[in-house]
Amino acid sequence: MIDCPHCGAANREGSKFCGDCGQPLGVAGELACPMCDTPNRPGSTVCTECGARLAPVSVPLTEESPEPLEVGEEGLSLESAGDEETAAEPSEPSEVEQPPDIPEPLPGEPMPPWVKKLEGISPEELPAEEGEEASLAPGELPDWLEVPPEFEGMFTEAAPTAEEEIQRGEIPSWLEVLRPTEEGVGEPAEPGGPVETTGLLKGIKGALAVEPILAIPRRAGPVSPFLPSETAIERAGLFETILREPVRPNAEIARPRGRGMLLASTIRWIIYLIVAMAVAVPMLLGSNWTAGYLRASPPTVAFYDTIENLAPESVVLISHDYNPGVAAEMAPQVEVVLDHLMERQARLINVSLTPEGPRLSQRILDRVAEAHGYVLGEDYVNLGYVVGVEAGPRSVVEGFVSGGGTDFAEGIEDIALIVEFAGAPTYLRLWLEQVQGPYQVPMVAGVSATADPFARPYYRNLARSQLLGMMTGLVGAAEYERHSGYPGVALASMDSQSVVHVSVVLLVLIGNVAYFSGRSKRG
Amino acid sequence: METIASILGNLGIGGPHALMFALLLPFFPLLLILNRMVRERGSPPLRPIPGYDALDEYVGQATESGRSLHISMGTGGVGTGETAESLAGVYVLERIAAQAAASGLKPIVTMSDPSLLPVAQDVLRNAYAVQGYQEEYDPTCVRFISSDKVAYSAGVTDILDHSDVAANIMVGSFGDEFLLMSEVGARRELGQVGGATSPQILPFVYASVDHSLIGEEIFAAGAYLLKKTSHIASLATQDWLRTAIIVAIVIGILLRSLA
Amino acid sequence: MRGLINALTIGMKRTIPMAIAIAIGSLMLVDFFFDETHINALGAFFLQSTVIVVAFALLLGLLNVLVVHVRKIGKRKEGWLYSICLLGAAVAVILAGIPGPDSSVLKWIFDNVQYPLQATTFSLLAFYVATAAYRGFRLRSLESLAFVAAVILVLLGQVPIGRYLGDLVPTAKDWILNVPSTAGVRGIIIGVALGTIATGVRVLMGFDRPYGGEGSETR
Repeated sequence: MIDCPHCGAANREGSKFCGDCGQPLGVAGELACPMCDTPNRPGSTVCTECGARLAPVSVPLTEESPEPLEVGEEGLSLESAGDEETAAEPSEPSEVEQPPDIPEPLPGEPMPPWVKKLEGISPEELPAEEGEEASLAPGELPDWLEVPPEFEGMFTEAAPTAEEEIQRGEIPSWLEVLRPTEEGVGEPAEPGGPVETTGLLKGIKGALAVEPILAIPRRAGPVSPFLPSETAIERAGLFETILREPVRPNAEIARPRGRGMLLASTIRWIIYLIVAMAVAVPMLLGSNWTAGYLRASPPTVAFYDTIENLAPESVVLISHDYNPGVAAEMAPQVEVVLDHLMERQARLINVSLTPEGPRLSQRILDRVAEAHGYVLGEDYVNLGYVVGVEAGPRSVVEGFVSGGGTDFAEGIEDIALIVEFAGAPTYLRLWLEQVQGPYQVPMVAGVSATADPFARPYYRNLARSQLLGMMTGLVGAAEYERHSGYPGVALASMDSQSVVHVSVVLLVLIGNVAYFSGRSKRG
Repeated sequence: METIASILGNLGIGGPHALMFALLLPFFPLLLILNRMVRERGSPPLRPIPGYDALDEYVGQATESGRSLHISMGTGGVGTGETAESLAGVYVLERIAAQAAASGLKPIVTMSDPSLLPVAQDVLRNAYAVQGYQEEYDPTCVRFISSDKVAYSAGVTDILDHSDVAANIMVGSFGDEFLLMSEVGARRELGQVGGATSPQILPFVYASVDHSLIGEEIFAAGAYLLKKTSHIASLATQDWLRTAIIVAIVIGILLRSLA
Repeated sequence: MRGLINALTIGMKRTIPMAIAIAIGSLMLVDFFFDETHINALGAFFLQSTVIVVAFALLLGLLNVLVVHVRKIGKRKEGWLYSICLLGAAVAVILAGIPGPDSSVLKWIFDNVQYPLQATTFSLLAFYVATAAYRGFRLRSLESLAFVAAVILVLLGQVPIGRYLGDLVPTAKDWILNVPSTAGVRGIIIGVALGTIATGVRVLMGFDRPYGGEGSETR
């Protein structure tokens, strides 16, 4: 199992790319460090070069201490393991200390004496340091921070001013703890080297010798007086003004304020007004001007003909699959088709795949049934909502033996026609797939205008008859009304619909004109 | 064709089902082979889909400005006919959740089908857990609004208007209510990415959303955003089979016209 | 011991759900294609179980709505008054539905509250389509030219006024709807079908977890 270095997912041996994140797994299992690109051993969790984590949080960090100092001719190379910044989470404590980076001297330069001195230090001494680090009690200072004996007095002198009760000369308890231990645990071996004689490090062995070049600061040479240039003064003034400005919130994502917003708002409301007027005015005027130009389209005519050719007393299964949202355009369709069906004396079984369907259809059914003298239970039934949308049509068909449709139909073969009113393509598809396809029952559909593109392929299927006829939206209902001679709501709404359509076309054109004129003005 | 149909008929598979079976069968070996190929040779070059690039950009902008992000996973659910589209929304959520967990962005995830609720919560929780920030996970980031699609769109409109969101991501199965939500987003000048498969609303997606993912582009979410090998392999599989279908259609047309 | 517990946890989170998904998925597939009574019975059983699982998910959803809005009220976030209205309405409808789904109160609520609300919200679409058309149908490129031309022709052709403008308009609209539009829709349907099958096959073959779920972790 190879762990992906980027996401930590387990991958089969021999995979070159991670199955979960697609990143390369590295040549022959080698892991490339994301920070410094050095190849690492497979399975390592920390980069040996820069110390970045090579695997996410979940993969436990293998306890690898950084490799000891390698001293070579080119200088030191030091690894700092457990770099805090590169780890993604702060909760994981750093397990290894961070020795400071020591810059490499330029090749060719003679090795500085302090480097030469360090050559002498063998790697075994370092773990001892680490050991000492680990075993320090809280409050205890490490070796190099210890107060040399001559300064101890200074501290004890300062103490009485803070705490009066301590006797002069007595070292307070908290200071006692700071006393260097003579019988300490893990005391390091005495480092070699001369004893320091001056300064803070007095009395300590093994300290770095003072290099005259470093210890004696160079005296600064004479400096020309600094005269800021014109631009510099200007910029400084600008900087000051910026600093003085009050804090403003972050720049937002494209939120035009003020004029831009108002303009967009106004345009929007004008458009709304246009649409509202386009619908309301023709309706209020009761105009019926466009009806003369309405011609029934072939799919609607086919729908009409299918029903017209039904034998009297045929059993028709009607499915009302729409919700109140599209009921406005479906209701006229349902009404005119029901009118036609009842005129043909068909016996109707009504079902619905939507919860609101039965309720919506019941109103229309009641109204039309009364007009034609149909009796509920004898001439038509409303089986209501079929639970389980996906398996709905199938269960309707299978449930014929049980359920209220026994008077009408024993099985699917008794159904002469399925009339489907689909508010959304899903329902149409379900009926086609589950009932029309397997049982080859003749089927016609009335669909909402937005579902039309989806339904059309089924109507236009020339090889196999799927939909014998199709009615689209309010316009389809109007066409049907005109063709069958039952004028109704749909026909009366045609004027409104026409005006709205024309308005939208004009809006599209105006929109383009506005866009291009705006562009030419700006551009 | 007839021979295959008769063989399958002998096995007990009916007429139209035989055709379906014949279409389904090539998927399995193709996916196997292509998965291995992608594992070994890496991803084949994928054409850039601006919608996915915009997604990353919007997430970044939202994070930087300190606002939140609204993600809608569609009005379908899992276990229905819209499972695949809803899963596409889940993969988009997975990607955004990973970035949110790393950067402190608080996404608002909404869905209309309750079966997506535990899925979304799980995805978010895991994203936070991977980064190690389990305690920052807030279950009320995920909101089930309503089963009714119209009520759902009303709820989303409220979120877009009143919660301080910087971008609106809607990928999944939608109905007409898509336009209700995207128009409000457009009105508020939010950055929007919309993706749907239903031809019914594709015009809405194209017209009202800055960056649209049309049709099966949403199924590429796992490949483009999460870069999972299995998704890239399945994209390749789909391409192969699509080519096969095109060839079959052309051959069919020729045969029909010549006969 | 630790390794065993580790393996069990991984198993529970990853392997077992995947195994269940593959098993049941394959069963449903076999059930669809073959006509064996036992398998069909099992398949029908699982289909029904889905309905029950979804019903429980609905309960979870309701709980989620409750929690979100109670928190909103508690913290007095913007719009908390509306949250009170929402919770009140929810309680009212639940109480009204206790006698059964055919109770007259529920019917009244549907007729006078739900139906008008839904119908009205959907009618907003008309306005939104207009603003979307104004803003979105820009002539950006050659393909958008074809797009806008199709929009205008179909919009005018659908209504009787189109015929007034000339017989060409309805004919053009019929051609657009029957030929390019249907072809495009067929193409999209085929593509979406392929994508749907691919999603399912991925899970069936074990390449993908049943849903997003557990991250790309080895834990």
